[in-house]
Amino acid sequence: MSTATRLPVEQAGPAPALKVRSLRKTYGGAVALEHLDLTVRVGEVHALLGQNGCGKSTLVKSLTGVIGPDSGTVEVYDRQVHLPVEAAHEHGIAVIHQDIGLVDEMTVLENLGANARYGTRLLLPVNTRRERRIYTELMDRVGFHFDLDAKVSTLSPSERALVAVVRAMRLMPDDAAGQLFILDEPTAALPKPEADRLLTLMRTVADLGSAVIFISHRLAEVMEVCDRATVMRAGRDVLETRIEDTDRAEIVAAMLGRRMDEFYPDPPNVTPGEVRVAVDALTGPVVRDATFHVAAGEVVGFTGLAGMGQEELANLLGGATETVSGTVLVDGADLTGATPSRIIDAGMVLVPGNRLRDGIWVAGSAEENITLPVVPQLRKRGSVSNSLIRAKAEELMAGVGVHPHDPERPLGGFSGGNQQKIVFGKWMQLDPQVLLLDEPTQGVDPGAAKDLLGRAMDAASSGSAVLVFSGEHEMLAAICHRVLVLHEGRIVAELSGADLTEESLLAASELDHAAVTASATEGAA
Amino acid sequence: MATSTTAPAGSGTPEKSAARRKTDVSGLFEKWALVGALVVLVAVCMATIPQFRTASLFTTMLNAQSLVLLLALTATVVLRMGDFDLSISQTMVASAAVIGQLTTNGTSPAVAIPLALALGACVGLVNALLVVRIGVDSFVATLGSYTALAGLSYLITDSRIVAGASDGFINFSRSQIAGIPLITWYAWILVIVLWYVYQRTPLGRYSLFIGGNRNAATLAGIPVNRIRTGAYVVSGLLAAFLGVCFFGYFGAVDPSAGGQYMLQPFAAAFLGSTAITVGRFNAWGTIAALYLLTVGITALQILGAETWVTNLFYGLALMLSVAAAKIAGRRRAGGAK
Repeated sequence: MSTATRLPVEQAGPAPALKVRSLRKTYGGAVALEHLDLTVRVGEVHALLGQNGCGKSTLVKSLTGVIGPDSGTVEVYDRQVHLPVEAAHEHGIAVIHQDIGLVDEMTVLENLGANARYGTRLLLPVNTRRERRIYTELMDRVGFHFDLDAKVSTLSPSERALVAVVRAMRLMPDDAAGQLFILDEPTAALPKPEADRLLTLMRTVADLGSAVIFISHRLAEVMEVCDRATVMRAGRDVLETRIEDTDRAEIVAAMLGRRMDEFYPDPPNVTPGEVRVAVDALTGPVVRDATFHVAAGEVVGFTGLAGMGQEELANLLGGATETVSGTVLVDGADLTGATPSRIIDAGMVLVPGNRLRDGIWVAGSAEENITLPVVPQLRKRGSVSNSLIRAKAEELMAGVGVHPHDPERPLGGFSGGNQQKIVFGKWMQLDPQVLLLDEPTQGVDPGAAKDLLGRAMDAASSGSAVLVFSGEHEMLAAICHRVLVLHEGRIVAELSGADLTEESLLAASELDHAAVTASATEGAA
Repeated sequence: MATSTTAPAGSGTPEKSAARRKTDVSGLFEKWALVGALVVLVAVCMATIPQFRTASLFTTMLNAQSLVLLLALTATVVLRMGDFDLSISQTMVASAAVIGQLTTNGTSPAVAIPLALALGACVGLVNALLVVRIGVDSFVATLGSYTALAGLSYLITDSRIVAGASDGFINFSRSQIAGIPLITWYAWILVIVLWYVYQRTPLGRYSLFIGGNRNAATLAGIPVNRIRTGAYVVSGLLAAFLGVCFFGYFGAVDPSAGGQYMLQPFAAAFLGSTAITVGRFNAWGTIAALYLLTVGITALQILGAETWVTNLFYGLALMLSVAAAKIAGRRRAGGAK
C-alpha cells in the first residue's frame, strides 16, 4: 500500500519544482538512500518527514552538493541537474539550517552581504544604496520588513530566519520563476508564536511561485501549514500524501513502521513525596525572584515565550550561569551558586538546551562523549581502560537507541536527534535524583521522543524530581503534573490538573489575562 | 498507508558491521601512516646512503633533536586543552640564563636550579592569569610572555653568551647510559609519562574534552579552569627544567637562542597529532613525527643540502600531513545519518 500512494505523482500539469528519482547513496556497506523518489510541486510547502537517521539529511546533502549520490536523477523545474550537484544556488536551491549561520554582532545589512555575489566587484567599495534597494525589494516580495541597520543579536529567532531566507533569495537567479527552499528543522527550538511567524513566511514564499521543503518533527505544525508530505523510512520513501487526506497517526505509523497510540508518555501516577528541590527568590541572568518547590515523583514544566527566562532558569540551576541572589536547596543541601561538579555530586543533572554549545564535543567520538561523567569509574588497576569504556558506551548507546551504533564515530557525524540521545544517555546513567531537561526532545523524532521522555517518567516514578524547560506546550501539557509559566524572568502562573492544556499554556505565556484567569487555578507561585 | 511491520531503521546488523570493518581498516591506516613512513624512510636511506648503515649516525640523530623533542612534548600539555603556550622556548632559555649567570658567578646549583624552576612556575601562573582568568587569547598572551622573556634573558646575561657550565651540568645532560646521553633518555621518559597521563587517566580524557568544548566540559562537572591553570604551570615548570638540560647540553647559554626553538616543537606536535591517536595531540605521535623529520633532514644533509633544509622540510611535512589528516577526517565524519 505504501507504494501505491506514489502513483498519482506522474500526472500531467506544470513541471514539478523538484523531481528526484531512484536516488541511491551508500556509506561503506551501509545504505543511506535507496530508490528514493521525491516530487515537490510549484507553490507548495512539502513536508519531508522521518525518524532520526532515516536519510533525510543525506537527501538534503545530495541536493545541495555536500555529498554525491551513487545513482539516480534530480530535476529542478524540468531542468536535469548534473550529479553531484555543484553550486546549488544557481539551480535555485537554498537550504536554511537550524543554526541559520548569521553573525550576531554584525548588522542585518552586513549579514545579508556576507554571501552576495559581488563577482568582479569584489574589490570595489560596496554600493550601500544599491544593496539597500535590492534587499528592500526582496523584503517587499515576502511581505516582511525589518531594520537593515539592526544588529542581528537584537532580532527574534523568526526574524533571523527571515534574514536567512532573504539572503538565500539574493543568491538565486533573479529571472527564474521558481526557487526551492529547504528549511531544515527551522522551528525545532522556537516557541509557538515565533514558529507561527516563520510558518507564515514559508507559506508566503511558496505562494510567490516557489516551493518549500519543510523538515520538522513537530507534526502539529506540519499538519497546519504543509500541502503534501513525503515520509521516509530506512532510506526509502514509504508514503506520499496530501496532508488533508491523512492524519498524524498515519504519518507516524509510516515513519516508525508501526502504530503508536500516544505521542507522549503519561506522568507517573504517584503521590508526590518529600520536597527534593526548594528554590527561593532565585535571581540571575533574566530570571527574577523565582520561588518554587518540586517534590519526589513530580514532573514540573517551565515555559514562556522566547527569552522569558525558562532556558536561563535551567542554566542557572545547572550551574552554567552565575546566581545573583536567592537560594537553591536539593535534598536539603545548599547548592546556591555551586559549581557544576558539586551540583552533579548532589544528584542534579542538566540536559542542556543548547546542545552544540553546552552538551557535546563534536569532534569527539560517541564513546568519549557518552562516558565522560563516569570515566574515573572505568578503570582497571588504576588506569582508564579502553575496553571498559567501549563496553559502557555500547551498553548506553543501545539503551537510548543511537543510530548508527558506532561508538568510534565523531559526534558531528550523527544526526541531531541521535546526538540528543547521546546527551540524554550520558546523564541518565548517573540515576539522577533531580533531572533538569531543557528542550529534551529537540530534533528527536516522535518515536524516540516518547522513549526518551518515558525514561524521565520512569525516573520520576522511582522518586526523582523532573523539571522540564520547554516552549513545546503540547508536550508539557501531556507529561507534566504542573507547569509554571514565566514572563520577563518571573513566574506569573501555575497550571495543573484539568486547567493544564496546550491552549491554556499558550494563553498564559502570552499574558492573555482573560484566558489565564479563566483557566489558571492559582496565581504566581 | 504504510502497513509494513519491519523494525525501524537501525537494526541492519550485517550492513553495520561491514561498514565498521571498513572504517577500522582505514582508521588503522591513518593511525600508523606516519610510523610506516618513518620505517620506509629509514629502510630506503639505509639501502641507498652508506652513512646510514653506521650506528654512530643513529646516535647522532637521536641526540641532535632531543631538546626539540622535549619542547614538542611540553607543547602538547597546553595544546591538548585547545590553547597555545608559545613561551616555552623562551622560558627554557631564560631558565638556562638564570642558572648560567648564577652558577658561573659562584652560586650553588642547589640555589640556582630551584630559582629557575620558580621562574618557570611564575611564567605558567602569569600565562594562566591572562588566558584562564582574564580570557585573553592564548596565542596573543603567550606571544607576549615569549617576547618579555626574550628581553629578560638578555637582561640576566647582560647580552653576552654565558659559558663555563660545571661538569655537573654537562654530565646531567650528556652522560651516557647504553651509549645514549641522558637528555635523550629524559625525552623518552617524558613520552611514557605523558602517554600514561593522556591515555590512562581521567585527567587525560578531561583535557581533550576541555580542548573540544569548554562549556560542555564545565557543565559535565570538570574543574576546567583549575586544569587549564595546572597545564600552564606544568608547561612552565617543564620548560624551566629544559633550561637545566639546555645549559648542560651546550655548556653555555646564548640569550638569543630562543627564537630558533620557537616553532619547530609546534610543527612536530601538530604533525604528531596526525598519528597514533589521530586528531589529538599525543606523546607517541609526537616522537614518531620528530624522528621522521630528523631522519628526512639528516638524509638530505648527507646528500648535500645546507642548513636551510631543516625549516623547509619541517614546513612542507607539516603542511602536507595536516592537510592529509584534514581530508581523512572529513571523509570519516562525512558518513552522517
